[in-house]
Amino acid sequence: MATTLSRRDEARIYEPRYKFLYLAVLLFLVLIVSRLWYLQLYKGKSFNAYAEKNRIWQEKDYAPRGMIFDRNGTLLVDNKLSFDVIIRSQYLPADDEEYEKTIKQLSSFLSVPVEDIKLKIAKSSNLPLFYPVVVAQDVDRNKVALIESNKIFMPGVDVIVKNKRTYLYGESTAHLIGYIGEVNKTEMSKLNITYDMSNRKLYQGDNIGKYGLERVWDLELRGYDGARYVIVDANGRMKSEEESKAIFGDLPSSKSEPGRNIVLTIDNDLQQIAYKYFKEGNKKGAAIALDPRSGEVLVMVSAPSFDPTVFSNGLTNELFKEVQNNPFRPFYNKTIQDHYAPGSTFKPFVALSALEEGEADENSRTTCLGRLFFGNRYFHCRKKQGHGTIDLHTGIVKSCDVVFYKLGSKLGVDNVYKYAYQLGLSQKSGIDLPEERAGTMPSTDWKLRRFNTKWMPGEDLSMAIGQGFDLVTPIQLANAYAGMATGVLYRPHVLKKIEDVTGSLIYEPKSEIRHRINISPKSKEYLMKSLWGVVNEQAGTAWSYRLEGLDMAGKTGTVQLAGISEGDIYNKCESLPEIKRYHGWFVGLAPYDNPEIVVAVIAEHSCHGSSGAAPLVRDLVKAYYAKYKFERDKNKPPSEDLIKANKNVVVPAGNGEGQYE
Amino acid sequence: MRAIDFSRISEKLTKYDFSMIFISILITIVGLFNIYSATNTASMTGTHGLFLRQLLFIGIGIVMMLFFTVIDYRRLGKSIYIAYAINILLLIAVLAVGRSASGARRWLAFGPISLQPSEFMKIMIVLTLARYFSNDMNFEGYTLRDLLVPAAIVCIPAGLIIIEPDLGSGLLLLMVAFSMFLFVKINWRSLLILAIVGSISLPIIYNVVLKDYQRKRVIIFLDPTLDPKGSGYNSIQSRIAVGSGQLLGKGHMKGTQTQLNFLPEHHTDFIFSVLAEEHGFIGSIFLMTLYVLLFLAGIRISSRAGDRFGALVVMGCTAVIFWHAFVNTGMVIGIMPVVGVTLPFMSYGGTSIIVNFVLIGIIQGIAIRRYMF
Repeated sequence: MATTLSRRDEARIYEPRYKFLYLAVLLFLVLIVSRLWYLQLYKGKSFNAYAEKNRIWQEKDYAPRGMIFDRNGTLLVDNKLSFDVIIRSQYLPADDEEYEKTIKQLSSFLSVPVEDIKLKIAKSSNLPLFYPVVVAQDVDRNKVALIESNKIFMPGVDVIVKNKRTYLYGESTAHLIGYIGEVNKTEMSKLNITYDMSNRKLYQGDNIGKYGLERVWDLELRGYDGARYVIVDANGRMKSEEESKAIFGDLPSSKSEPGRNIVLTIDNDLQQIAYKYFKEGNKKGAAIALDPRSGEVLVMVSAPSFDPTVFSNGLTNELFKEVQNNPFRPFYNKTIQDHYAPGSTFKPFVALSALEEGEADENSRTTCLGRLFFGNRYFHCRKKQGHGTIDLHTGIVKSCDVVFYKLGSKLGVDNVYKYAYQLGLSQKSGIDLPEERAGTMPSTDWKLRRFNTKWMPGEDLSMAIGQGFDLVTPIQLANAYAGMATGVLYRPHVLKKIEDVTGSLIYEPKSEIRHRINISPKSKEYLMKSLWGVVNEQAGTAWSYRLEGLDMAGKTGTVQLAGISEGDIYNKCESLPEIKRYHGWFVGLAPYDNPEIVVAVIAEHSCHGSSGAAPLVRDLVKAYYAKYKFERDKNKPPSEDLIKANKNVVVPAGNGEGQYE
Repeated sequence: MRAIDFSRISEKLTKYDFSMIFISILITIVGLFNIYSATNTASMTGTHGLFLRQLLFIGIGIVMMLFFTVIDYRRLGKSIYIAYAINILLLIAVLAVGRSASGARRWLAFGPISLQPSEFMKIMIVLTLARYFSNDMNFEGYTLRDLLVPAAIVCIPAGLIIIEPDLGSGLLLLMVAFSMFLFVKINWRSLLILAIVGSISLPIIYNVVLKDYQRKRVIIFLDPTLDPKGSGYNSIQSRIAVGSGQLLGKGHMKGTQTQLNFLPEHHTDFIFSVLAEEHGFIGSIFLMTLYVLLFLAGIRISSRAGDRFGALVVMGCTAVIFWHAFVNTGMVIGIMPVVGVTLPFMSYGGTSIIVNFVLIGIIQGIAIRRYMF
């Protein structure tokens, strides 16, 4: 190593290198100056003329967003062309008289008052002059033709074409499909971290999915926007391609690629039946239908709803607030985002636990006297005069509370938790939609963690009739019943497949089994027969909603809202103000021995599960049979022996519609 | 610490070459006029704040510059490895902490002050490499094996910066380091191998390793006009702005492209197009001449530096400013890809201004100590 060289020698070695550096700087100067000379002196005049008189526009070629279909190919979401009339203030005539004339002419074409147009221009005076001000949206074609043909007399006025996202079934699919909207600043900076440098990058004015499936599958649906440069003259009119070529040479452009189409597992006919039921009866609540053999969601409806087409095409603040402040919460997808006490629909889980843990069998009998004294107070049955001495089957069929008070007390919450947890309670169902809630299934551990207090024996009783800490979402309940009936818990899903525009398959999710459920076939059969009895035995709480020959099984439930005094329990629910009335549940399965459809309906503030929710379940099952099961053989009625077995049961008068089931 | 000897400082003030400070402040003044014009456009009215903030940054920058002029540069060399390591940790912290914040992953917040560790890395890399090479001098030329350690010194921070993602700063770091490698002399055989391996492996990486969309990005990076939605728009608008300036320009605050906001980012990365539009060819040449004088002064100071470490530091610091100026102006006039690189002393931005003044301070400190060893 020549580290001992003197400074002078070293300097001599370095000398040629410094000459290189001087050369590099010289090269820099030559390069930059010659380019500046080319741009500013050689081509400067044309650039300047161009900058003075013309503007270059970047015209976006928006990719049509993917369409959405139901499982049978019915179009649910489409893009329709819409025409907006815009004004670019920069090109409006400077002369006052001409200006007035232009606005007046436009106002007569659009049949919009002159003042309104002027107000819109004034409102955007803080924007750059060349910015398009939208004067009228979604203008009808005749008017557009009129304006187009008279554009030369109205400098600054232009018509732009847009794709208008149209939800053909509007409110009925709002929660499931969601809506789109212009990307805001926070979303843009957040999303562009990953989209940066790719051609997925978002720009101001771009639309993205804001809610529901539109949001989940935004990247697939959105497609790729294209863009081209256009040159417009001082009057806002487009220049010919030859003229622009003279200045810039070939201007680059890219074509848009349409987004991918999505096919849902939803059956639109059933979906419409469900929404109509809520809408026409002015009911609030939610309905979910699943195929228990695959986890495919057939119906997902939440009411009240909102119009996603309006939300996607220029949502106003007032409308947003109005929907947001509605006490019946239209923004919630109640099937997955709202949890309710399950009420009596919880009883089969307690029964399952009792059968499996040996606390009950087909021979056990319980006497119900209408109420049960426990701790220091009475726990009431839904039937004031009591059900007499009955077995577990009848307890389920008639939804006797005392039977379940006693079972709950015998089992304790942790034994029930064991089975409820297996059936998916207190866990998200894992459906392919965002912001799902998990609900609650209490246990002694849970209470200690949550409230830092011990579980009270009395709480076993209210837990057992689904009125304690238990909270379920409709989808959880439907899936739990599906799991109970089939022994397999699926992950529910609404996406059937994604296809490109030509229809070739891009992605198809597989049905995913969450886990198999450990129940003996004997308990399963016993339970399903009991649920069948709820609908098909005269004593059953849903007897009025049976379907001849369809073998539907099910369970009603009614949920008291908080703050009902003991004296109120037997008062008429209908006499309460709507917001305080009880919720009604019904979960139905059909056919009961090998179910193909499970439906859970919550009818908020409907007072009864049977009259509020069961009709819709019945209608959906009926429609499902008519559409998919008409060829099914309707012989082999499995019901004969069941009816015989229950002959000895005394059917109470009025077939038992109580205050709470 | 040795007390500062004021009589010697005043002696140096009259005796030594202060061209670096003089020219950089001149460019800064030009920059201020420009920023004023760029931030007072139709849509940015009432943003005098930006101009005042820039003044504040310049004030801080000048204080930092004087500080680095006064302290002995050999002290900087002594603890540079530790400082380098801390800077690396800060870069990792940016990736870890900045990830949760939306958008700005280049900054690291310390209370009210937020810093860009990637900018400081530019100084660190110069000092670290200078220290390394001055300890391990090789006049015959370094072989590839000799360069393994210095290559690691550069590639670690450059990689961290590129995944931030700040492609511009990362590549700039590599360019500065490569300039220093060439300056300390790479064995010609090694250089040849490097060139051959590079020219063979690049097409293979491009055609085989990269996926379709990644190739698309590379192409767009090299020719932004192919992406009309994104950087291509800036590129074209910038060329119109520069070209329409012609010989004398449209006059201060009269540039239509700037004032009507056709040009995005015109007060940061595209500040040169404001000057070119408003002051034309003459103004642009004036600015470019100032930069060239700055580079020439830097090279001269390096060639006369008191020791090997000093010579390498000055060369590296000058290279940082040079590559920034080259890449930025090249981008504005459409001969370079569009990457987010600032124009030294001209662009708006605190960290950039301060770092550039620190570079000048270090160079100047070496200039006034040339006979002192």
